[in-house]
Amino acid sequence: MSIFFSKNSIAWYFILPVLAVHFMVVALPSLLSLALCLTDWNGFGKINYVGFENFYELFDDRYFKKAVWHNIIWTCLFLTVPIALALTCAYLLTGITKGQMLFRLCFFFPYMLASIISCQIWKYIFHPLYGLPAWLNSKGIDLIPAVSPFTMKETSLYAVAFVDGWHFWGFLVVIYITGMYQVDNSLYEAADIEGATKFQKFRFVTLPLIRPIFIFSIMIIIIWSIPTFDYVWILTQGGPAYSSEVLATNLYSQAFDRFNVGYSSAIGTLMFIYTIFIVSIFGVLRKLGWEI
Amino acid sequence: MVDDGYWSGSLENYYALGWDDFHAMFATRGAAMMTIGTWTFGATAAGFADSSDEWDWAPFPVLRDGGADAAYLLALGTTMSINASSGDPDAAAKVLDFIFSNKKVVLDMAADFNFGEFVVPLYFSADDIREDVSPQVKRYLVEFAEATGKGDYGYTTWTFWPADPGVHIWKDMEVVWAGDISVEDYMYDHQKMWDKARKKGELLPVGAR
Amino acid sequence: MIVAKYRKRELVSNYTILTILALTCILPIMLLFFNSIKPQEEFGINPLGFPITIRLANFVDAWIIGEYAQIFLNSTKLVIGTLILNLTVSGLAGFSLAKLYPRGSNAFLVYLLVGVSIPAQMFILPLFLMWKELGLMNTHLGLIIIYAGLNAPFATFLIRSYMIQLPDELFDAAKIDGANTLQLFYRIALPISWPVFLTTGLVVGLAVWNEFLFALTFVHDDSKKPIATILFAFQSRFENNWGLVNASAVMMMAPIVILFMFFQRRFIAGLTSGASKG
Repeated sequence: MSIFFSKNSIAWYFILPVLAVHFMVVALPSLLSLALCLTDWNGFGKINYVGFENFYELFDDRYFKKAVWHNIIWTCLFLTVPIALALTCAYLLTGITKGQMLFRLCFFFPYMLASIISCQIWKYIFHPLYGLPAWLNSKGIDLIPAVSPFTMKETSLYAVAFVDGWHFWGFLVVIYITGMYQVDNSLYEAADIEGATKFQKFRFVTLPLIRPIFIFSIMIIIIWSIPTFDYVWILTQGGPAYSSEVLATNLYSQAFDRFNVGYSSAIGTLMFIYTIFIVSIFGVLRKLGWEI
Repeated sequence: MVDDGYWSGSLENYYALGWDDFHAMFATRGAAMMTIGTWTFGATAAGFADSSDEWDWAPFPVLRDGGADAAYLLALGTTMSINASSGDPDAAAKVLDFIFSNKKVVLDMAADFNFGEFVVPLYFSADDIREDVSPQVKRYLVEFAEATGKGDYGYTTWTFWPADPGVHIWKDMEVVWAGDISVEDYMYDHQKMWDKARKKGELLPVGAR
Repeated sequence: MIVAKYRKRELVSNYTILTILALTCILPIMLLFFNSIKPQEEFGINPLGFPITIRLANFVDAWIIGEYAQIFLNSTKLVIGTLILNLTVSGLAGFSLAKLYPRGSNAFLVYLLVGVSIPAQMFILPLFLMWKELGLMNTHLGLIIIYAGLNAPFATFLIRSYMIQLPDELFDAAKIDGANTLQLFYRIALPISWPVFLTTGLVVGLAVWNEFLFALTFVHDDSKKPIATILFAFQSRFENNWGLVNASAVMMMAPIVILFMFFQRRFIAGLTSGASKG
């Protein structure tokens, strides 16, 4: 009887509610979905076991492979541009007195917008008839052709990444600022005495001391970039011609457009394995002593 | 035709323009015609309400030799059906009977939607159609009835094709337009999907003509 | 707080860079505001500029056509309901992970972290079927449970990282006085942790307010729909009046922006403390 009231058990009773809710909403359906990856279910008919056939098909699916590649590009894009911009901004912001709050509000504003709103704004700005390039063209400035970058296969993925980046980077700015505030002023003064340039101060004082936050931001970007869906789907649905297709949109269209539920579960399983892999890397790094 | 800009002005414009954009263009002489189904009758008529221009429609020509004069395609925009596992199918049947019991009311309702949204499952003649229905729509009703009466109709992909080829025909077509795949490879993929659907017994039944 | 002192010349270049970036963030949103008060006819001639004629009636029309009173009520219900459920369960769990040291807590944290990266599309179909069986389909309660689950990892992490810093002495003192674990939670931890609960509430509230996919999938009655779906409805083929669409977008963001103005520090603190203690 006492085991029910041991310290450990009580600690787990506190966790049980959240575990139950989360399990029921996320884990259980996901497990069911994983189980479906070994079937060829179409969502309403009979469920037939087909073994690993879905995975063999995925190997040959050129659009799935495109999606994988696009996700990798997406992650790389988000690991570079927003981080660089956010670090720069945060660093510059910590050095000014006037207008800090105003700037922070400006940078963070896009993050508060729902994805549909951000997409609506940028779709409009790039609209071939009403948008900025069209307007410039009507005034005689023919620098940018009045073509929406969401509709050209060469640029669609990058255009979508731009909109999502525009929405997201304010979050990074805010995180980095907080980290930089914790850096002791005296260190900068010491660097000033040594005659360090702005860049050197950043590299040798700021960066090392915000490392935990920086590593965290890297981890969260990688993890959040795997299921990326909203912006791609709203802006291009993965098109044109699969040029902006990512894993989550591929999964969605296989399941809900083509009724290949079993097949899409296989995609989901692979995404899941990919995630576990990334998380484990960070876990290993943590064990090795990196502060995460 | 696409490269010359006949279609929406450019391939990219085709992707970018939406329902309201192309309706606006059509109503203001920006576009000469739209390839679209009868569900647009309402929006089109509304667009031309204030304009001195008039609109009309024509059926798609049949491209192969020896076919009928025109292609009319049946889709299923709306369906009122009795669920096979319904607890009270007789009651449901009664409701359906009631809805279609008064021909005048039904035709009135359909007229409000300019007859484009659904096919009315009742016998009626040209005289039964309300006065204020536009002449273009009236002509459609008469000619469509004639064509279907002769058995001259086909089926739309999104209603009657199995899911995979049904999506492939419009989504993967973009890949052909982008030049990323040859037409032969595309047709080969398409055939594979049909074979798979046939094997799994997923072909949809179509009623006899 | 000046962290690094700059010479005058550097100051100018700093401000320039910051201003350019700030404008890229703000100008598109200003465009949204401008377009929300433009009459529909003006969009053809003046798509990007300040409105020539101002039509505030856009907001009125959008309010009426979109039945905003009902929609706002729905979204508010969802936010409050989710917060009640989410803050409670995540609060309890966060407290336990921070102060009660259950065995295997690391595994649990990894479980939560992995949960964050499972794409919604993967489990939304089985969840849909489950909810239908349970009769939770098309109900606010069903959606609240889903939102609480989806936001559980973030909330638990955040609350835990805050409570970790609470001094043990407070709890030890209370234990000596004979408090049981539950009392430790709601008598000691809860009152002191109100900042993190406020912040979590703001961040989770924002997520629920803006949420779209699950709202669209799990609620079908127009009378029960939340605010994110309203924008979607406006873009349907019968209603794409740019002025009204933008006006409803503005109405959707307004509560968030107002809340943010008041609670800026909390909002930011919440996001960042999750980052620094992770």
